[in-house]
Amino acid sequence: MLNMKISSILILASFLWIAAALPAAADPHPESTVIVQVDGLSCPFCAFGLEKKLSKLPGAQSVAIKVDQGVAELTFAPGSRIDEDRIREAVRAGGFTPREIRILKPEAESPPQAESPTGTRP
Amino acid sequence: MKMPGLRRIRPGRICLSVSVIGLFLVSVPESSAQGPPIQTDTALITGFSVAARSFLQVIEKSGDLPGGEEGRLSAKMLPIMLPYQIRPNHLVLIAAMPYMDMDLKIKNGPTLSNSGWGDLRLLAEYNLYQKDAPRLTTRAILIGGVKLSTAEDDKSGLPPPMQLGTGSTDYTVGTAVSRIGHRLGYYSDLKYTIKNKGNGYEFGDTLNYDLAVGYRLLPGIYESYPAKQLNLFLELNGLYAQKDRSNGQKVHDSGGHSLFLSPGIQFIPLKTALFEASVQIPIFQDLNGDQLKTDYTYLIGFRWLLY
Repeated sequence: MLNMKISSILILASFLWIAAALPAAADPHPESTVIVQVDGLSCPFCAFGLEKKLSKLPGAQSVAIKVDQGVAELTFAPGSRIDEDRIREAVRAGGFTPREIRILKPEAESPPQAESPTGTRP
Repeated sequence: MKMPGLRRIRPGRICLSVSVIGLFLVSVPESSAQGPPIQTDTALITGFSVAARSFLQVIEKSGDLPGGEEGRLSAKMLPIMLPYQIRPNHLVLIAAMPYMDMDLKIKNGPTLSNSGWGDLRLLAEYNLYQKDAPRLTTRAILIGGVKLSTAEDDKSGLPPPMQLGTGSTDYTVGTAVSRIGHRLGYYSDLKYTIKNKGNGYEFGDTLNYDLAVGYRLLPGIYESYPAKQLNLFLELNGLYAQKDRSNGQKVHDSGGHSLFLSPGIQFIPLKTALFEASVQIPIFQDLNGDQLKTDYTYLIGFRWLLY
């Protein structure tokens, strides 16, 4: 009986130790970054409307508009559902034309794949 | 009477000068945008283009008055313009009302003065065409407007141009086309105003045409929004006016064609505030009969983004 208790405590302690040792990226709902290519973004003075529309998207935590690159970079709160159509709609409502949308998955969810020596992915 | 210091410059020379300046701006390395032009309408109906706006415009005119007497007019206008986006980026309504202060000094005669709120003007701008490319946008809008008779227009002892209001309801139709790159922007507009009779006097219809080039001086490379911005403008502002009519008869000393060269500067320190200044220098004035000619006008103003 005593052995069983000790075994249980050891198993529980091991489990807690392993859990504590896991990296933070293992969060099942980490925040996501979305990069939107925005055409027509030639005038910084008119980016105000775009920033406001993108900021109102559900889950949007931050919006950075990189005028020189013609992109808007959005950060969504953990667990947010990223709706590309709504992003496009917001860009249009802001006065511009949305092009490519890239959703950057956090590393823990999608680890970068190693390149093979021949340059092709394994 | 010819104005001292005001030479008539041939249109060909004006075109050449504008072309040279334009070529210089285009050739600036890494030419890439700026705020909305100061005197010319922009076709981009978003951001500061549809911000609440006010400015002090000072107009100095001198020369012969109808009848041949010499006179000098100093006019100050302070319009307040409030936009309302009915459909963002598609349809905007703008209400504008100027506060006016005018003094006309007649040589060997009295000084006529008047001040107060002018007529209310309502403008609608509709996005007609939009083509966006990476760091480049080309747009066209349709402009429609109405000026209502809301101001006092029958103050005794003052000629119609010195009244605060015209007593008429006038209509404006026009268009604006803009092409804005990363650091350079080209703007143009064309507006025709149909003027009607008020108190027995009808001002002549007007045609406004404007061309502008804008160049973002600072920052050279605009990395992240927002950043402080300094813009330069060079504009050509033209006005053609038909002769007025008084009790059905054409007024000989009215109407004509004026062209102004307008350099301007604009500073955007904040996301929601813009400050600007512009001078209008007459480069061509062909006015009918005896009229005061414009010596210069200048404008100092700000725009404030409400929403």
